[in-house]
Amino acid sequence: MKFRANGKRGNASSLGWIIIILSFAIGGYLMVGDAAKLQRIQIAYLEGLQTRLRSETVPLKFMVESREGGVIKAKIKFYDLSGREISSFEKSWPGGELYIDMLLFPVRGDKATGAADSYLAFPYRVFTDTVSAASGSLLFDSYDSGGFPEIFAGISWSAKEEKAIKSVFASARMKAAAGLPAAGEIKGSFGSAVHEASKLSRLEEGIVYKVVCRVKGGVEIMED
Amino acid sequence: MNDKLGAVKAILYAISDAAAFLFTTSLGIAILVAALVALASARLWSAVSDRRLAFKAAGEDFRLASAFGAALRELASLFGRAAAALPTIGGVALALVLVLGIADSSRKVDAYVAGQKRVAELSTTLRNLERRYKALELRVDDVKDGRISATLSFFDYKDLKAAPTTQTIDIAGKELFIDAIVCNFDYSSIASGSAINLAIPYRVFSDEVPEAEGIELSLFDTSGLPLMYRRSSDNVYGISSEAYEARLAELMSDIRTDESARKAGIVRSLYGDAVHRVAKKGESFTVWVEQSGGLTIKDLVAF
Repeated sequence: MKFRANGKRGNASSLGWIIIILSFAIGGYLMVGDAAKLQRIQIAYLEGLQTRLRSETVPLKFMVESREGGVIKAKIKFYDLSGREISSFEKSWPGGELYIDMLLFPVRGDKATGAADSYLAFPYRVFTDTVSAASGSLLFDSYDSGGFPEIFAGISWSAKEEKAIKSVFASARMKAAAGLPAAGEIKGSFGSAVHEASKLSRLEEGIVYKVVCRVKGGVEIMED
Repeated sequence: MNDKLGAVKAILYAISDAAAFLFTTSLGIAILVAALVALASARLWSAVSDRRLAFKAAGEDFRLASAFGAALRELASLFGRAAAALPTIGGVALALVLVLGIADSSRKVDAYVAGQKRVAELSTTLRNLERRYKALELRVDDVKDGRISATLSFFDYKDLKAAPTTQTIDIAGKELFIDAIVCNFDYSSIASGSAINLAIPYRVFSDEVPEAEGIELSLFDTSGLPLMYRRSSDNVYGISSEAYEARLAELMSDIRTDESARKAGIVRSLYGDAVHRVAKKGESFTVWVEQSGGLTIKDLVAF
């Protein structure tokens, strides 16, 4: 009888161990599943951020048509966010290097420091190395559609977003007209005049270049 | 050890996949049912045939009812044997569930480890893309009578304790333009950390003074290297300080000609960028080289 009692106790003990091990195994299995789910969310978020940092908008493209007698002749075309051509214009300027000036306004930025999540970029003016910026050709009229900058058309905005874009554009136009910080100027805004550097990177005649705007405020000239 | 573990995993996954296919997919279940039906049919056919031979040997007619009875008996016997084998079938089913669980857990752990590597890679890429380097600082000293006085500071990263090199400028206008040559490298080089976008400020002009009449900046050392890209030997990893400077000089030479930079296949864009702001007395700001591309201006925040 004593032997049988020991046997029963041994069986119960084994069953207990099996239950404990199984509990740990099932718990571990569920935990790994949860961790994998969280990890997938984390990877998707990081990939989204990476894509966002590399993303670009191209509000305008241009081509130098000729350089004769110290005069640059260029054609500029404007595009909306879907890549549709909005308008174009052709002009000549005295000088050797073409400058495409962009105005950048922070959005969803930190009001105290002016730090921005991203920037809205507006083509501002064209000048050259010998024509001062103040005497340059303004570009706003080429894409102003009743107060809305058409370079931001092509995707659907909410009424609130559209109003905000219109307001920033109005501020940009006011700044351009006054040449001074307008009342209520958005903190953290700045200009970026990208240009060819004749000694290093000459813009070739007949080649189309695009002005690329990055989400963090950088502007680049790249061959299209 | 890894090879052995790999071999065990391969066997485990094969058993697990086969079990999962047979018991969880429609096709697998159909195959399993078909196999069982075929097996049972063979047993019934064999039993009926044996019975028919026995009837024949006894000189009796083997009627349909006899065949049906023989088949039913065999079927009952089959169910009886199956019922007797239920503990064994249950044990096998339990073992298969365990194999499936272990295989699934092992796969999840493998995927998790691979996922952690991906997270580390993405984090490094993002860190490199989000990085920005200070090109210069500017303080507007005075704005008076249509002229701007400002002090520009350039930092020598080779000697961080040294006071920044400064240059004072005075120019007509309301808006200050800081012109720089910008060299943006290919994203893959930036993301891996093997290259950083460069910017070399070289001139200041204004809204009223064109670039050609602007003021040259003097931020190069005696050997023609931009101060902000000089590094002390402590801050140069995996390469000697001399080799770093030689490589930097080579790079500067490369970006002096667009063609050679493009031939090297490393440069995404090379151009000039004059960032500008309306000058306000007492205001200070920093020009940054963004690793996602281009230059930006940020207010200098007092700390």
